[in-house]
Amino acid sequence: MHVCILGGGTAGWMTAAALSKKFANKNVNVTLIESEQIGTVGVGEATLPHIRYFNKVLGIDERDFMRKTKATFKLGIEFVDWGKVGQRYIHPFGDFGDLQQSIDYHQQWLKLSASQDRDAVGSLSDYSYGIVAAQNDKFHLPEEGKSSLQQAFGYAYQFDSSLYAQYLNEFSQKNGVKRIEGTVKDVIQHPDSSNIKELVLDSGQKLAADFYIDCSGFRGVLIEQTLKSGYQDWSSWLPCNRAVAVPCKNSATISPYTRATAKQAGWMWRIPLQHRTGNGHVYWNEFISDQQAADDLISQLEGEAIGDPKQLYFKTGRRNHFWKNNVVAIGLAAGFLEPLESTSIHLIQEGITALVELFPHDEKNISDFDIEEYNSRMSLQYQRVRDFLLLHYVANKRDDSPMWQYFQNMTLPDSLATKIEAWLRRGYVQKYEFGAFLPPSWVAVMLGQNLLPKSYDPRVNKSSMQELLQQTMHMRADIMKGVESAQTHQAYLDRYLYSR
Amino acid sequence: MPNGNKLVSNIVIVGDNIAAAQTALAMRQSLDDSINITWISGQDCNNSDYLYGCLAPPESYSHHLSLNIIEPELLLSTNTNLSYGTEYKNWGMSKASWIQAFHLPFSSELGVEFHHLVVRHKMNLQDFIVNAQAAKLNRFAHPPQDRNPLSQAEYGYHFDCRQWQNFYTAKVGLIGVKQGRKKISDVEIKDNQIECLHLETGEKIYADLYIDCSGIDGALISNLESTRKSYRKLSFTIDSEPLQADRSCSQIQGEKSGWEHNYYARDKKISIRTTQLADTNTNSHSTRIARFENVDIGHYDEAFVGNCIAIGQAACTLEPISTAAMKMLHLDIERLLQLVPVNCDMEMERKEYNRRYIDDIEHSELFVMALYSNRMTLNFEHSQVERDVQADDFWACAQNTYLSKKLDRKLTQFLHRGILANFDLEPFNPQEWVIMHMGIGRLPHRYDRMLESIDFQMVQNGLEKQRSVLKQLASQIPPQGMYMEKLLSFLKQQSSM
Repeated sequence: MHVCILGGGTAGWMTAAALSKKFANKNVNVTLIESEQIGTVGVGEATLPHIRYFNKVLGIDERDFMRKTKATFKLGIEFVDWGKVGQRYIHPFGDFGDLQQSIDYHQQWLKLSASQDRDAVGSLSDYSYGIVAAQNDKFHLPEEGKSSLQQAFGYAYQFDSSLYAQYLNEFSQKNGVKRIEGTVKDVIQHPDSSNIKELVLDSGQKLAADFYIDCSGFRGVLIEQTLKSGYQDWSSWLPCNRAVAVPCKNSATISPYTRATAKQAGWMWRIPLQHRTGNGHVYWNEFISDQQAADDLISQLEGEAIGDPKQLYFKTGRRNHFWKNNVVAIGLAAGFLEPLESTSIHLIQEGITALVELFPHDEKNISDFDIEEYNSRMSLQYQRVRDFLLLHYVANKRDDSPMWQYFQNMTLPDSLATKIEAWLRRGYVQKYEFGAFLPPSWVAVMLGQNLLPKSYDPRVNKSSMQELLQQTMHMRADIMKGVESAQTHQAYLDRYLYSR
Repeated sequence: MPNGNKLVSNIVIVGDNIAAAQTALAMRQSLDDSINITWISGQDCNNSDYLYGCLAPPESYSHHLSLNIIEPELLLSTNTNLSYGTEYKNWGMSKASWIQAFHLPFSSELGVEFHHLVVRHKMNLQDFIVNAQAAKLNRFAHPPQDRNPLSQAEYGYHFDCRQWQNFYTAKVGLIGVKQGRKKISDVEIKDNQIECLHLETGEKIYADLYIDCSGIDGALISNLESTRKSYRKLSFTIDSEPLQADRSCSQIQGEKSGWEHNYYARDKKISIRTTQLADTNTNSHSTRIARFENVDIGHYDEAFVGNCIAIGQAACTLEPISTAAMKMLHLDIERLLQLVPVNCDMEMERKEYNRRYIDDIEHSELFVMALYSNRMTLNFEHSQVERDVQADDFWACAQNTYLSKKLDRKLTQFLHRGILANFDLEPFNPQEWVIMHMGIGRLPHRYDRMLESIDFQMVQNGLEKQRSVLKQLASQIPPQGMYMEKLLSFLKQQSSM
């Protein structure tokens, strides 16, 4: 079977790497078409812990990958000014505290924080090892923690996505993927089925494949321009529609977390890598001009800008069909959700995972069953990420600009409204199995943005205040001890990656 | 009616059965003494507990631990037997036979799920389930912790619900639940909430929250406005026969006009039959425990209505052809504990409880539906209901009754290419599904093509060796009766030390 991937960048090369690894020696030939003339978006630089599994399955050595992509470790995302201007919180990878008799720890904290001992108890953040380490710019691998609490965190990476694409490019070509430099001039379809028959490149070269993966970015050359999948516009939920991005030189400290700072008409990201810091301003052009957005971004840089700002335009949403005929769209061709929680690369990974499981080995007859299942799974993934991103915008009382007033007046999707209502009532978080963000993530954002529940799980009352306080103080001390003895993130990076 | 801000401080549980006893135990152990819990247990239990089936799934172990009950205590205090699962014989329209053994996820080192190997090599999955092999020979042993193939087995419990009820009730008596063996004569309702319960003694019982554990009659919830999804009505008989049980799985036999499910507690066999069979199957050693006519198989669309939560059979009744009903009971109690209302404005808890409940019951019912579904090929249409089905055609009627789009997705994906499509937090795990699919004769149209590049003979040799090892291992496991005897002797010794 011949698979053609249209588009390089992170989506294209992640897909190529995965297919070439999974189907090595399996009679599946992969060709990737990309053009150096078509720039990639190149701003997806922060990730979720799931990426580690992706790399592991490829057999990629962590140190080698981190060196080549100038990666740093990521313990979470610091959100600044989201709940209230002047406030900040970290959304970590990992749980808060220890499970207490099958009751989530934050329930215990809710009770204590309403009691006379609230000052001694402190913030819920104090009970997340990942957060405390991040706040202190410390890092170690989870398995190096001395206690279960000191191991109870996850981590991801912050890396140069173009270097990652390059890394996977080399990996893929070693595994037999054929790279063709070129742009698509025309797309020929089978007259009866409308399947894509072949691509005609600007060089005149024709490429016929059985199956196509559209990683061509926002344009969706195959899925949209050719097959007219259609687009579900989600801009009423997430109205930011532009971004401007520019890297800068590193400041003194390379922190083990991404930062997202809320602004009047959007938000700014800061992602520290080994060799530079990536910065961007995501905004709604209804309320700020492109020039102002760029100026604001430049004025906030921690170091000297490297190069000119890059302007991006997008519409939040997703294709009606992620898989149509003999084309699967992955990455920006499939849909776009702003990178507030580093979900872009994660959604690429989910798309690849589902594709590998549902891969159409029978090139003659692509099954509607596979298409339906794939679309069903990806729809759920996108919808759940959308709800989680929207939470950040609506779980606060900010009304100090037209954008924030828009969110204050928004009618939420039922799925999200019910979640917030349940949280406010008693700190209850709905669980689901399929989706990127587990209950601790929801707790981190809702509590971090000052959504304080009116009550808590009544089962917490079974323990005496003394017991609760004792357990809590013990946990806090355990975490502090671990963090105090850990190395700084920079020192750990240097030792882990470069010491002999 | 209490105002919304009043804290829930009075909970009344109604019922005289396993659900009520477990609920009372769970709630008293989880909630502090500022919440009064009263258990009214004088209702006629009518033995409907047997309709859960008498086989508890492996999750019961941790469920009991959450109730501070350890397995040795359970075994020493009741006639509970250990069980590897259920043997289906002559089941369904395809008349399939297999052992639905409890098992950990199948492992495969070849990068594909194990069942694909079985399909490719046209083997029988049953040969690779060590405890299915052991159950065929009526052998049993606890799974070891090490890397022994037997460590992949899981086990559940054959139980006599009366003994379990007594066991739980005794525990409840020790922990500060106010109990009263009194009958309810009336349920006073106002604005779709329970105002109070009238007892036959003339007493009135008021509470903030009522838990209906009354069994299939739903003594409380039936008075409230809640629609019910009914699939069909079935009649059952329950008989027991003294027997020195040495079987390590229950047995369910399909017959032309129904089924008979036999369970093996340590000292008796309990038989549940659909009644078309019942009167042709008399045995002079057996005692009729109960007979149920026209039991409504189905569920309330909402189990939390007003200030009343229905638990167990009061909320839903599933045919006891699998462990679905027991799984639902565990889930009901877990859900209840997680959503005990804070105060008398229960709107949020009600909404969330019902959302989870409907997911849980629909997903539990999927397994029952799949057991009845005759869909063995991809071309079978969901909407293809057989016309002109005779009312006494038990199996065809079942198939026509149990229809679901979610089931369609699961069956389609498995039949198409052996994919186990899942929904969030399903009660039945993937290996339960694959064992059932393949046992009933539902085979994927094609296996994972990744296998094409793996040497056929090498895999064949490996599978044959594995099959042989498991068969041999199974034969070395002690007979069930002998194992239980030695185990109990050991436990008695331990407990007296």
